Amino acid sequence: MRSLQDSIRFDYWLFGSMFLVCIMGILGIFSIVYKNPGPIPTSILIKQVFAFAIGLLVIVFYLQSNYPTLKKYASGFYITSIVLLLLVLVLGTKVRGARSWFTLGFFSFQPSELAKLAFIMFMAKFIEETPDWHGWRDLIWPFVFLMIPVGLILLQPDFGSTLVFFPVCLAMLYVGGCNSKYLLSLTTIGGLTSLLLLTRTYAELKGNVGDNFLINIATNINYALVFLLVVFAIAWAVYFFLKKMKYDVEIKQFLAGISVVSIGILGAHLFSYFLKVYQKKRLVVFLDPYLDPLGSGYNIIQSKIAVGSGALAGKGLLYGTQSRLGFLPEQHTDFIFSVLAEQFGFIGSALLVLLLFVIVWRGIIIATQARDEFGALVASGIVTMFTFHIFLNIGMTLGMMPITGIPLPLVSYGGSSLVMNMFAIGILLNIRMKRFFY
Amino acid sequence: MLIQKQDLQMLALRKKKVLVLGVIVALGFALLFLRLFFMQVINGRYFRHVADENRIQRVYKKASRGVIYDHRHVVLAANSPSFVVTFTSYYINQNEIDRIAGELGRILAIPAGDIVEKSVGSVKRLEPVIVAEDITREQALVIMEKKAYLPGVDVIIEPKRSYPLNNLACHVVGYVGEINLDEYKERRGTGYSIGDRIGKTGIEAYYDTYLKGTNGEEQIEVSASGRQLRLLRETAPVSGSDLELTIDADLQRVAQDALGGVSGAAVVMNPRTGEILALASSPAFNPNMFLRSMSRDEFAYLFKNKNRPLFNKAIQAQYPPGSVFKVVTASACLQEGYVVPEEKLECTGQYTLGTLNQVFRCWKKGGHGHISLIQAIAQSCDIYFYQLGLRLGVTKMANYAKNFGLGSLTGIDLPSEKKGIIPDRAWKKKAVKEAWYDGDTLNMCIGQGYLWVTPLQIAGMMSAAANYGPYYRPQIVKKIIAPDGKVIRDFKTEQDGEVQLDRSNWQLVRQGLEESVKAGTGRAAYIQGLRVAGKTGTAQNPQGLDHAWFAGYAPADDPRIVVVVLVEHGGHGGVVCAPIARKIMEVYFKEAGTGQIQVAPDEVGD
Repeated sequence: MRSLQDSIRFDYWLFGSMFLVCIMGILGIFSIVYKNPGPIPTSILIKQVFAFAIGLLVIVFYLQSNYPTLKKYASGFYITSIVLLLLVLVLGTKVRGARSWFTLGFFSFQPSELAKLAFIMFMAKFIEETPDWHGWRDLIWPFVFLMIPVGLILLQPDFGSTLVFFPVCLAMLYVGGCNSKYLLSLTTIGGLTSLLLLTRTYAELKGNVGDNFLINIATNINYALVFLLVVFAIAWAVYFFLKKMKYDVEIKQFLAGISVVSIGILGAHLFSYFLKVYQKKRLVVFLDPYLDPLGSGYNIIQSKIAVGSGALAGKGLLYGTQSRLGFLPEQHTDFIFSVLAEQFGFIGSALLVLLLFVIVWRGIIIATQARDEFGALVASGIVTMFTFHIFLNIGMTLGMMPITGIPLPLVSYGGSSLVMNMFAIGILLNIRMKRFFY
Repeated sequence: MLIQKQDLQMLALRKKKVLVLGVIVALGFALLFLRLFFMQVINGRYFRHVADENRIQRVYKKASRGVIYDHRHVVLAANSPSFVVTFTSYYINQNEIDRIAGELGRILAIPAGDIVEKSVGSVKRLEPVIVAEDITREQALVIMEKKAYLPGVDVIIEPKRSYPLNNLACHVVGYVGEINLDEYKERRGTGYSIGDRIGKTGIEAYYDTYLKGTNGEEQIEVSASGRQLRLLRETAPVSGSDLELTIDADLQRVAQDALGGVSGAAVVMNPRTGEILALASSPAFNPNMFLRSMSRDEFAYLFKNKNRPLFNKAIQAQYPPGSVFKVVTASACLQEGYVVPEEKLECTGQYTLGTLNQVFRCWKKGGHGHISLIQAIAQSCDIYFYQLGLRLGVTKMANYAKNFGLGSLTGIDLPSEKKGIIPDRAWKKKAVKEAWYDGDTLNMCIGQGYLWVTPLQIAGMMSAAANYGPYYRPQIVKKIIAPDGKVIRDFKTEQDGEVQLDRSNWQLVRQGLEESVKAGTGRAAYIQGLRVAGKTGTAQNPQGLDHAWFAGYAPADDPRIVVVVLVEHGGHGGVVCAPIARKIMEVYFKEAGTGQIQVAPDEVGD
C-alpha cells in the first residue's frame, strides 16, 4: 500500500516543472554546440544529459528512503563537505583563477555545491535540536557553522558561491523561530552595507557623480564617522529626555539601533578596502555597463542585447545570432538564460521563469505541509537557495544585478550543480510524500 | 504520537513564517517577470536592431570620383590608386590593439597613439577605419606579410584624387578633403557617410553630388571575434560623373604665368556665351597638398600668407573698379542725353566742387585741356567724368551699373561668389548713416568710393559692351557625362542681362575703348594686327598701393574674348595689367607680338 500512497502524494507539479526546466537547459546547450565551430566543445551536451540521467537516478533512489534519516547523516554530511572544501584547496584544479574543482578524468566535481546542501541539512538539525531561543547568543553557533564553509570557499576564491549561504541561513533561522528582531537587524546591516558598497564603488569608478548625503556617507570615512557621532549624540539626548518624561525605555534598544547603523556603514568601508578593482567593476557594472565596455560591461551589454532581441516570439532554435556568433560570453553557464531568451523570446523565457516559480512555490507549500520542523526547515532552506540563485542569475542576465558568476539552477551547464540541485528536488519530493507518515 | 496543543500552535506559526518567505520569493519572481516583459516585449524591436548591428559588418567600397577635364579633354583632376591601411578594432581587446598599433606604427613610421586614437575613437567602431593612407608599395607588402600577426588590419587599394597639372586652375577645380562633422550633418540622408572625401572648394564642391558617385557596400556577417562568416549583401560602387569644363588649359597656364605670382586675378571669357576660358587667381596653390600630410612651410603658405593663396580673387575679392567704371558712366550719360560726343569739357587737372571748395584732381597733373568723350575715355580723364557724373546723378548711375550686372551675383557655377556693392542714397543712409553728397557722386563716377566689384563682374560688364548690350551667365562646366558616356547635362548659354543702349551710343563707347588701347592709357595692351579695345583702372584704397585694373576685348569689331586683369596694390592698370592682358590675348589669337611697347609710368597714369 505504501507505494500507492506514495504515488498519490508524489508532487507531479514539482517533478514535472523540474523535468521541463532541465530539458530546456539541455536544449539551450544543444543550441550552443550544434554545428557551431565556436570554442565550446560538443561534449558538454553529452555530459549534461549524463548528469541529468544521474540526477533522475538519485531522485528515484532517494524516494525509496525516508527524509528524517537525513538527520542522522547531517553532521557527517557537513563534516565531509568541510573536509572536501579543505582538500580542494590543495588538490583542486585551478579554473579561471579559482581552485574550486576536483578533476577525476572524465568527471569533475565542485565541493561547494555539496556544501550548500550539507549546510542546509546540518542547520535544520541544529535548529530543530535547539528548543528555545533566548537572545543574540543563540546566533553564535549558526554563525560559526556558516563561516566555516564560507571562509573555505572564499579561499578558493569563489566569492559568488558564498553569497547564497547568508540568505539561506537567515531564512532557516526565521522559520526556525529565532527572534525576528535579531534577524531584522542582521538584514538591515546586510542591506545597508550592500547599498553603501554599491554607492561607494559606483562613485569611485564613475567619478564625478555629484555629491549628496548617501555618496558622502559611502565614500568619505570621516564624514561617516562624524555622522555616526552626531546620531549617537542625538540618540543619547533623546534617551535622557524620554527617561525624564518617565517613559519606559531601555538603553539597550538605543545601543542596538546605533550598532546596526554603525556596523552597516563601517562594513561597507571595510569591504571596499578588500575588493580588487575587477571585483568592484563586476559589482556595479550592471548600473552602467559602459564603465567597463570591453571587460565585464561587455557581458552585460551583450546579454541584454541577446535577451531583448529575442522579443516576443524569439529568433527560433539555432537562430540566435548573439549566442551562435559568439557575442554572448559564458553562454553555457552564467548566461544560459540569455541563450534561451534570445531563441524563444518572451514566450519561452516567461515560461521558463514560470516553471522555476512553480518549483519554488511547490517548495513553499511543501514547507508548510511538512510533518516536522526538520522537514519545514530543509524545504525552506532549499527554496531560499533556489530563489536566490535564480534571482541573481537571471537578474544578472537582465542587467539588474551585479555579476556574481552564479549559475542558473537546473539549467546552466555543470554536472555537480545539476545533480545536487536535483537531489534537493528529490528531498522536497520526499518531504511531501512522507508528510503523513506517523 | 500525541499531538499537543502547543505543537499545533507552533505548526501554525511556522506555516505563517514560511508563507512570509513565500511572499518574498514571489516578489522576486514578479520583478524578473516585469523586467523580462519590459526588455523583450516593449523594447524588443530596439534590441533586435542592436543585435543586427552587432553581427553585420559594413565595408564600404569607395566609388571613383568623376574626372574633371578642360574643353579639349586635358585632365585637370583624376584618380590614382592608393594603398590604404584600415583597422577594425571592435573585436580586439585593448592590449592587442596597443600591440597592433605599435607594430603598424613601426612599419609606417607614424605614432602608435594616432592609430589607437583613430580606430578606437571612431564613431563607426564596428567598421574598418582608415588609419593610414598613401603608404608605399613596400610598406603595403610588409603589412601583407605580417597579416597573421595583425588581426583586424587590412591593406586595400582605393581610388584617390590627384591633380596631375598641380596648380593649374586650382581655384576653379578646387580640392577634396575628408567630410567634417558639420558638413556631414548638413548632408545627412543624401548618400554621404563619415570618412567620405568631399569637394571643399571650386568645381569639386559645386558639383560634388555629380562627382562623388555612389559608394558600394559589403554587408558581412561576422562572429564576435571578427571572423567574416558570409557575405549577406553586396552592392558595387558606381563611379561619379565626369565634368567637361569650358576652361582651356593652355590659356589658363598663360594667364597664371602672366600674373606671375603677384597678388591678383585674371578672367578670360567668351562674351557671346559666358564660357570661362581661363580664370586665374594669384598666388596659386597645389591642391595635391591637401591629399597628403602637409609640411609646416606648406601649411604656413596656404593659411598664413598675406596674399591668401586659397582665396579665389576673381569671384570672391571685391575692389573698387576705378576708371574701368567709366564705361558705365559714359554709356549712361550718352543714353540719357546728358552729353553729345562733340561736346568738349575742360580739364585743368583739378576740379573744385560747390561751395565747400572741395578739390578733386585728375590723374594727369597738368590736365587734358579741352577734351571730348572718346578722348576722355581713351585718356581716362577724371575731370571730364566728374562733370558727366554730376549731370547724371547717383540714382541713374547706380541703375546703369546694376544693368551692367554689377552689384549682383553673376551666377557662375562656383561656390562662395561675392556680389559687391553698388551704392546709392538709400544704401548710404542704411550702411553709413549719412546723406549722399555730390562728393560721393564724383567718387562713384570714376569708380571710387563705396563701389565694390569682383573681376568676374567686370568681365560681364565688358561683355555687354562687346555684345552691344546682352551679356551671359559665366559658365565653367559645359557638360556632365555619366560613367556610361551619356551626357547628363549640357549647359546652354544663358542670358544674364542686357544693357539697353542705342547702337550709335555703343559705337561711341567702343570707339573710346579702342582708342584707349591704340593711343590712350591702355597702350600696353596694343597688339599689331589685332584691334584690341579696353579700359584701364587704378583704384585707390586705404590699405596701400592702388589696385590696378585692365578690362578689354578683342577683336574690337567682332569680339571673341573678354580679358579682365586685376593686380592688388599693383599701381597703375595701364602699366601693370595691360601687358598681362596683352600676353593672354596674344596667345589666344596666335599673334606674335611685334615690338614690345614700353610705357613709362609717368606717361600713363591710369
